[in-house]
Amino acid sequence: MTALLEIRGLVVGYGDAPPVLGPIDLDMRAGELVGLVGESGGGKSTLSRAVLNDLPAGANILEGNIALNGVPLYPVQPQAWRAIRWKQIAYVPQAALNILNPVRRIGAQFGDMVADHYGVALAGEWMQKVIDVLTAVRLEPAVLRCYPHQLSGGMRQRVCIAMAMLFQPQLVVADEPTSALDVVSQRLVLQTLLELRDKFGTAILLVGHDLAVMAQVADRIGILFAGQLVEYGPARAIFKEPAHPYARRLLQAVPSIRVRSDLPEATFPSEADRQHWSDRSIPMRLVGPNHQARCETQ
Amino acid sequence: MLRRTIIRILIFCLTVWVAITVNFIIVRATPVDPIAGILGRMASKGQSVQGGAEIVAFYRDTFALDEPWPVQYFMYLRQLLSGNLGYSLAYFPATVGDVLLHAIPWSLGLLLTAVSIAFVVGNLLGALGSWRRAPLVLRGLIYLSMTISAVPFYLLALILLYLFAFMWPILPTGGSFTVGSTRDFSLATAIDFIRHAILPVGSIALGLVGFWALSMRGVMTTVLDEDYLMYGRVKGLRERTLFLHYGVRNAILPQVTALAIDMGQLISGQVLVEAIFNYPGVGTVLFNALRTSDYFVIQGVVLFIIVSVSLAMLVVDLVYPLIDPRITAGEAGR
Repeated sequence: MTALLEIRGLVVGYGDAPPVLGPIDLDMRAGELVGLVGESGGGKSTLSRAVLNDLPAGANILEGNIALNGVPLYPVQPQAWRAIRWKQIAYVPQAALNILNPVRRIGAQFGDMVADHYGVALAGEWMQKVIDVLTAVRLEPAVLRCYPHQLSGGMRQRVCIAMAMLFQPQLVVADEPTSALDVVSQRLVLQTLLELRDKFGTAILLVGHDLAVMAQVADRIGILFAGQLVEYGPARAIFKEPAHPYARRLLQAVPSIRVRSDLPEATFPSEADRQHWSDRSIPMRLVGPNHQARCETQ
Repeated sequence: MLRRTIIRILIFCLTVWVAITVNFIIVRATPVDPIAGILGRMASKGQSVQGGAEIVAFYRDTFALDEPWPVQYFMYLRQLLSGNLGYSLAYFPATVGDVLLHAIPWSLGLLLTAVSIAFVVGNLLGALGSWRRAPLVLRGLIYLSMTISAVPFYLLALILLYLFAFMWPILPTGGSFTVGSTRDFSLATAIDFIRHAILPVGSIALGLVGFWALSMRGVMTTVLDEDYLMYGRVKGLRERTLFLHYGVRNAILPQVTALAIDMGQLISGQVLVEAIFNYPGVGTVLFNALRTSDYFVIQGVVLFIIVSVSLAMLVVDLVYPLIDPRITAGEAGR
């Protein structure tokens, strides 16, 4: 079975400066939920934005490639990309006030997508599809007449999920879709995301900090550290037996909701540790079934 | 919304009242009898003033000039409210109201046309110039228009006059219609009218385009960093949709506010342009009134300018919620 998304030797950098990401090798199967975790600045967002062909200004892919269904996405072909965008790879952004155009009604923003991709107005069959995806994320069709500021943060986020699912893409990149939301909204957002995956068989690349959430929803987890993928494997295996020292440290840092204990002393890893953890000369090796980590043989 | 509208209208009334009162005080603060002074000066220059004595008597009477200030103030307000701005000294017995009423439509037409053209062209130019896929030529045009904007209106008017009325005499030098032509609702009249308006409108519009282009480019630059543009791009929306509905639509909001603020500066700039082209608007009236010390006409024009600037700001303030839905946030369902 060929992978849906194949990232091979991907290196991203800004100009002549040392690369900020990679080389990364990672693959996703159809319908799979892959979680990407790691510290801020570790390369999670850069990786997800490379998949979306939306790297920050100045950043470039220096080496490697990303393939969707075996077709390489780079170098970018503008026409081909317009067909890939949203129809094949959609995006659920981080909840932010201005993620939706503040002076345009939600309905018009759905209309823009339909008009620009299919050249038709939002009516009839398409209107039904929009209402269907809204219902799926538990929103009334009345939100179509609203402006973004009239909705709560959680509702806006569900509008974004509905938008991402409208064209039934094969892959959705969700970049911290639940951060900045309260716990109840988080739950609803995640739940709807998962339901839609089950309904449409969409693969989800979930970027986030929240390890508890990842443990619950992810099939596989990739741990990024200093621009390197240091461990990649089944969520269960990683949470049970993390192989990479950074992964172990990361999992230890998660507070428990059940047991109240003194917070473990927050010590920043020493420079030597950091150097060692991100050492590129250490190859990824299998540490369990389907589970690889970048660490020396024990 | 209603509350906001009422408060805004009250502020407008207050502004106009303050302006009227200052207008009253300035005149009274002058140590000389302005009317007698003006009539005397006019007489000494050999100008004949028809019915000079009657004018003096009329003013003493109407404005209660022999009474104490509070009474005078009350009379002054009463006269203003009944639309009586006094008589023109230069065109007696024409009233200031008559003179203004003839001039206002010309000025308004000139101003609205010039401002509309400059606003649309300038904002489009500035927005396109900040768009990363726009041709480089546009950027050059912005710098050119900025340079032109640095030139005062009246100088632009003189340059245009020299170029298109003297060097290549393709347009008339001034006025609003060819002297002696009949004014009817015919195509020829319309063309004649437009030909006379091109240079005055052109010099104001040309002077404004760069200003709008520059500020629009600034606003657009910040809008381009907004999340909704990135999101729209990842959605695969067309450049045209992103530019118009996501970029310009958001960037235009502060520009509309700026439009109201600049109105005052604009009107004062227009005065000289009208005078240069002898266009029969308020500017020319003011220019002539200043030359002939037509005191009451000057007062009337100043009052008119204050009221119209306040009115423009009122209109922009009331229209703004219609283009920015967030302003009406307090109201459900709007």
